[in-house]
Amino acid sequence: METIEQKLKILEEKRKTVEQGGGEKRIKKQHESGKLTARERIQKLLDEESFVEIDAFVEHRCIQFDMTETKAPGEGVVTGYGTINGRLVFVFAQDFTVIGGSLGEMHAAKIVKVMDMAMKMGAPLIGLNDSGGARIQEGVDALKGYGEIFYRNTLASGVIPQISVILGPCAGGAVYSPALTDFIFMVSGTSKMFITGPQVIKAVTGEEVSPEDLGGARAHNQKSGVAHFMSQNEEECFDQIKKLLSYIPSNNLEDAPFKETEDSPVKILPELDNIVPVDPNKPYDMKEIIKMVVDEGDFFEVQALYAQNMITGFARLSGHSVGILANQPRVLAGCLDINASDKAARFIRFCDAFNIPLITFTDTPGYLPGVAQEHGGIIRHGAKLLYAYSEATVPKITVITRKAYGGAYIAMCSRHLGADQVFAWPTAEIAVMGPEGAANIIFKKEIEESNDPVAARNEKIEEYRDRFANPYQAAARGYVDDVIEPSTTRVKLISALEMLMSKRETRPAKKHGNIPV
Amino acid sequence: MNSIAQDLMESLKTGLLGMGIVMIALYLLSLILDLMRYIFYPQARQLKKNEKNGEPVEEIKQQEPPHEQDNQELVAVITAALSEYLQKSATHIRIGSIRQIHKTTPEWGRAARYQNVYNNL
Repeated sequence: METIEQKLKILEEKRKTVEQGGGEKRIKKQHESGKLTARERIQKLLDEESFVEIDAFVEHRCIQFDMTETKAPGEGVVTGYGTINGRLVFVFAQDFTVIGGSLGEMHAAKIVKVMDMAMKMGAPLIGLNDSGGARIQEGVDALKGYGEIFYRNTLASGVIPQISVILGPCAGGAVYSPALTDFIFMVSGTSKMFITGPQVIKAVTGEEVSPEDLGGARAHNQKSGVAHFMSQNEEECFDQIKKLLSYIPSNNLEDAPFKETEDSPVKILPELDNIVPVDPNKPYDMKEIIKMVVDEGDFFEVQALYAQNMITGFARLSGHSVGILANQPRVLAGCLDINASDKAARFIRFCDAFNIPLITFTDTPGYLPGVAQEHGGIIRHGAKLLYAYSEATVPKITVITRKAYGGAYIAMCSRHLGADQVFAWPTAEIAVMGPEGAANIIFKKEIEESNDPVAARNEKIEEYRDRFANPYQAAARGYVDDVIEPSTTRVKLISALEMLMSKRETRPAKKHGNIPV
Repeated sequence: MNSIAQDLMESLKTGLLGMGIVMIALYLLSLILDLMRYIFYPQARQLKKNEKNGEPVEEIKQQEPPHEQDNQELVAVITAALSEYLQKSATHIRIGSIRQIHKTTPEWGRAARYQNVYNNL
């Protein structure tokens, strides 16, 4: 019979084997390819000494092909919990050194267990993905594993924040777990995400493309909009995750973390009075306005490279976390298009699900015209923005800085979609359409009959601008709560936010709405 | 002349008598009040006894409600901070009201959150 000392020795050895993962040779290879191992990643991400591993001794039970002899320490995934800045998080990290991090039945079971635990405890779930895909030897059991993960991703959506970090390959069906989560982080040169790889694409369509161009960090951050954050290395990526977590609550019943600020809530910003150019066609940088208004100029942008005509991100006002949406007049003049609508709608729904108030800065001349937009479904995609704003019950505050025309005015969190407070700067132009277009329609006859149609048109444009392109028509009807000095924007926003902290707005009971996806 | 002197004497007597009666009545009233205190506030008797025996008597101070005291301290701190920030003398600053800023959502707002979650929206 074994003594206690022997039993402890066996435990120690088993644990050591699991911690070794795929062995020194494979760990070295992982390092050579510029990647950290699963355990190194967890250590860097979580607070020091806070990680507690679970299911370290799980083993696969596949007996097909050569799997009987194949050992997979930890089943190719490290799972457990720990803290980030003192807050509980659950984490899983696929270990590429163990059978390429391939997902089999028990590998999936480990992930499913931490997902269930995260749901029970109301804590964020962070998945570090670095996997070659399904473990083919396990056949349909591997697919079952994916399915169970997708199912839980969906159940957890809107309940706990789910963060996916792509730190290696993530191909085929595996991409849908990250796609179902709230935020995807990618590392330049390391991360790859695609449904079908370059070789399959070449065989089927004849197109030649490199893995980086097809599914690299830049491709998904800039072109597809699949990813939300891009970093140059893994350390930077983990810092971004920590920062993101500082703005969001641990679950859908909690408040986002409050952070004391030294920035005064009554700070007057005289620079804002002259930030909007007198010429309505001259662009300016909306991000400058946002950074001036928020606490300590700290704006954490989400999807910074995608649909840049729409700005989305997190910031704080008087210590409270807020979600900020804004049109960017520097890109496509701030027009709303398909990608901008999708980006904004998704961000709004995240903020609403996790009780983060929404602040909207409006300067948009309307929807982007074009056949590509119409045939691409701008009607359907634009409707998502309307739906998301209308559905949201968190405090909603809008600041109209300049143009707010037509349908785009309504879509950018107007009073009519349930905005709680709408402020307009004196430079605001709130109307059905721009003066040029409106003058052509309203004064068509007068312009045509004039001796000098060009001069007459210009005169009518100015007349329209004076009469309608201002905030006072909307303010006269109460669609704008107040026309404010731009310099007082921060003061007004904080005051409104404080007032709205106890906002109570409910929606009728229903199974779920039918957002035009 | 004699008659005037007599009248004055009489009125003096009447005045003194009246004042005497009032004094006696007031003294009696104070005795009655003392008696009432003895009946309805027996601790006073002990205090008086202690006083007679030369034992120290606990000083009873009228204390301000705690939160009011805190508020005064808060006003002092805020005034000092404002004075520093605005570069103005504290005598030129008047604190009208102090409002607690929410760090978390008030219960009223939370109720809607729970209800919306319950409604599956």
